[in-house]
Amino acid sequence: MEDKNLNKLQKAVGAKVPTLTDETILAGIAKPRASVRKNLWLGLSGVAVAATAVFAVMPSNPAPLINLAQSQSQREGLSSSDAKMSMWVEYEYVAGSGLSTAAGSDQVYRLNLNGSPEALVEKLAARFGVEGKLSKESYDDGKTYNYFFGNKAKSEDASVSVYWSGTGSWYYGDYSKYSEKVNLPSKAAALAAAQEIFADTGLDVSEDAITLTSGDWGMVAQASLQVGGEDTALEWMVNWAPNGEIIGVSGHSVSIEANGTFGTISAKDSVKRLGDWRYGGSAASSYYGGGMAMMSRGGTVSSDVTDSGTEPSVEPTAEPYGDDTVEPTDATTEEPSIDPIPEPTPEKVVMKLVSSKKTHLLIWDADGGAWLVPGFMLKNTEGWYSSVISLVDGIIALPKLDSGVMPMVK
Amino acid sequence: MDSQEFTAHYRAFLPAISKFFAYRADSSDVEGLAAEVFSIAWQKRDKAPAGAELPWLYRIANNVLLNHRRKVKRNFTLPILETDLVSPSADDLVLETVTVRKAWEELKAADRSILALTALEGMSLEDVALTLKISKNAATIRTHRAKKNFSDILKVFEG
Repeated sequence: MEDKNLNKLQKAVGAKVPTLTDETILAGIAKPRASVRKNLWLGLSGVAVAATAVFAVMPSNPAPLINLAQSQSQREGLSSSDAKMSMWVEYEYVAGSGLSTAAGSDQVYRLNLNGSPEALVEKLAARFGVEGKLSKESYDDGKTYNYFFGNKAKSEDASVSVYWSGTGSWYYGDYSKYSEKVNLPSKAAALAAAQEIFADTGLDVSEDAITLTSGDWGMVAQASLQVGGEDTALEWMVNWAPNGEIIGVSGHSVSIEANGTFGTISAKDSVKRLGDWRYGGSAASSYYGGGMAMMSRGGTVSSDVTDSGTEPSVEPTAEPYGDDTVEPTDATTEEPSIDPIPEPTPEKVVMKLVSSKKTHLLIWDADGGAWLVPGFMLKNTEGWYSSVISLVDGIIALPKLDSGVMPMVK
Repeated sequence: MDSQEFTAHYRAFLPAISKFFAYRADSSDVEGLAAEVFSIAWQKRDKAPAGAELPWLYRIANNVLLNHRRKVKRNFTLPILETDLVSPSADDLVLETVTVRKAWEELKAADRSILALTALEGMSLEDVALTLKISKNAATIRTHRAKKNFSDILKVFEG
């Protein structure tokens, strides 16, 4: 039965697997690491040049506040028809009667990087007791840098990394402490530890604002930076291994600067913007289904964690691995192991939006800067949320779907 | 090992690495990411475990993908667990069957991750164990559990 279902999974995969040649290996051998991908991209299509030139065309009057960054697919030169190929379904969005027709106004915030990356690395290394050497690497000709502190030769050892752009996101990891022997901390101990770490790294929150989730894989504490009393997509996390050791912490290093109040469209009108990626933004993960969104607030933990903190959740038992094992494919075979499938025909689905919540969405500008802008989370009849920016036209300069930049007009 | 020997030895792993990235990154990124894996492998070729090169490459590929997602997609607000970052989403896989897609989306990241390696990429349990740095027994149990979870969820959506 399980094999039959895995067969369905294999047949459903539409991702194309390219056939790589020795050229790929030779490119790796011949080039310094930082330039490998860039050179390949340029060699393939020259799209990097096109992407940087896009923002030369800007509306002059009125000047937009934010020049929105390109999407990933456009930055890498996919045409709109290429992008559509990966769309297996086309949605038609319909506004339900429950959506407000009232326009309004709200604040726009710019996120400014705090201090210097070197100082941040030093502070985090001291906080988590990391030893090693500082190195920095750029993948975009020096526009942005990844900072790494630790021992590069042993990736499982304690290290701190900082990406100095946008939200100044940072990460501490120490996989040398990982063990599957279950000894998770109690709920109270985990909350207290997370609150202290968050406070030390720039996020002051009460224990009530911290969410815990856990399983036999370990435990995660999570909290969001709030703006106007609402969670945002800027989240801090602490990750415990099953043995109760902290093996990962992440956060951001930004200050929030109010950049003025701007007009917003109604929730009902915002439905017209759905389906256009340029109007999307990142909201707090609690809006999204699965994984982290399954967690509940106030330190409530999933059912397989006990308050004692010492009882193992699930100790793996020696379940037999039966005949339903999927045989490995031959690694030397060039062809994908799945059966060829016909070109998909997009399915048309009418999606009705039934309610909305105001929030601030995280977006990125063309220079790598991060912003929090007013938006809605629109809930559909399936129970999912979609994000949409609610700022009136003209505040954000949107990249055109093919090239150039156009004002936010539909 | 010179560059010719390296290329001859490692070309056998090209399909596996290609598939790994094809299922987790934009198609236009696959070749660049793969080249980055081989760049690191070339630099660290003296440390390559003889006979276990594929799991070693997978571990490098995992790290390359993590960096790629953090940097290019600026996906810093996602959960930090490695399994969450490197397990392929329904969009990554371009799943074209509605029920399978929904079931995959409901599946925990850890289950998606191990099912992708075994059922979709065809890794042996020995290689999965080496890649994830867990025992073969643990790899067996996790795979068994992931398959069962996927089947259970799919059953719900198929009615």
